[in-house]
Amino acid sequence: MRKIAATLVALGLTLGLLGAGISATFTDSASATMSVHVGTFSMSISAVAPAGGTAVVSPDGKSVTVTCSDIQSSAAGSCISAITVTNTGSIPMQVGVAVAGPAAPFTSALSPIPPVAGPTLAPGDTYVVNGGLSWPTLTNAQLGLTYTVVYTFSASA
Amino acid sequence: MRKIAATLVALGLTLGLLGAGVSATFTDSASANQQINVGSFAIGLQSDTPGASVSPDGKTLTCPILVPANSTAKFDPVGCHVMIANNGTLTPASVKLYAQVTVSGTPDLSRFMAQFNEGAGSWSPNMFGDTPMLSSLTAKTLISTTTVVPADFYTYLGWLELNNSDLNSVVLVTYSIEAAG
Repeated sequence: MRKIAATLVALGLTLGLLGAGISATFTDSASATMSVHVGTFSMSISAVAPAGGTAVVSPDGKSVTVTCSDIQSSAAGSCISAITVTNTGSIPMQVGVAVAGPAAPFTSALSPIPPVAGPTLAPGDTYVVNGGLSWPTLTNAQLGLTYTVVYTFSASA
Repeated sequence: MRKIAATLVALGLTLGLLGAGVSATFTDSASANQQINVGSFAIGLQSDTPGASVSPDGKTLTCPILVPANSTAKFDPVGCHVMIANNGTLTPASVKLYAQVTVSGTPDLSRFMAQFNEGAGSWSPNMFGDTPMLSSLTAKTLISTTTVVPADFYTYLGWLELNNSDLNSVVLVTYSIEAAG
């Protein structure tokens, strides 16, 4: 009985080793990668303060508030500031400008008038326009009022 | 009784000495050995795609990085050619191709897609499907198998129109080639 048991144990070991041999395989591996890197897309704006006025850029660089000096006479005049937008991203952008205001008799003094499609700025490029207000001879109706023009520069790609 | 015992002891010694004498022989030996050399088992990657690079050990292939120039939808028409070579002496019994996508940033993977085109190698029916969105490949996924090496395939990436959530992000597709023999 003990001999049979020993034989069975030996047979079991043999089968076990055979089983391990059957499942063993050679393996190797390698990898290939393909990727898309989407760049950054952003713009900033700044302006030159007009004579006697101020130009303040917001902390995020997304807006600039230009304030002209107070008008001291009824004579026709203008307040012009050079406005600069810069492509601070890595993707080329097409820039468009929208004008809102001012109330009559004031008018926007945007120059040059951008093309409908707008200029295309490569990364790091700048776009400069002159913007501001022009007015004819004023009357008492304008006394004490504030006139505002807003230029919104939008970028797309 | 003691005399018989002494005689037996003496006889035992004599036989013992005789035995020692008998065992002395000229000796020589020879041996036969049999060796088996287990071959090498290794696969390596290559590519003829301009801009693709392969690590010195041939185990890692980096395809050219695609950089969208704008938000417009695009499907890369060039692709990346991945060639699998047998650098060993043994022939793989199977080569399995897996794909998995990883990202950095916040890209919307439902707008990115990939395609796998079989080259040489008798790849099994492409389990990649027709240009799947990468959102279905966030886990390591078996996409095809072959038993023929060398083998090759082409991979392509594309995207639908991008938006701001995709900016400053990286979409990386890793193809793992696992051979067994």
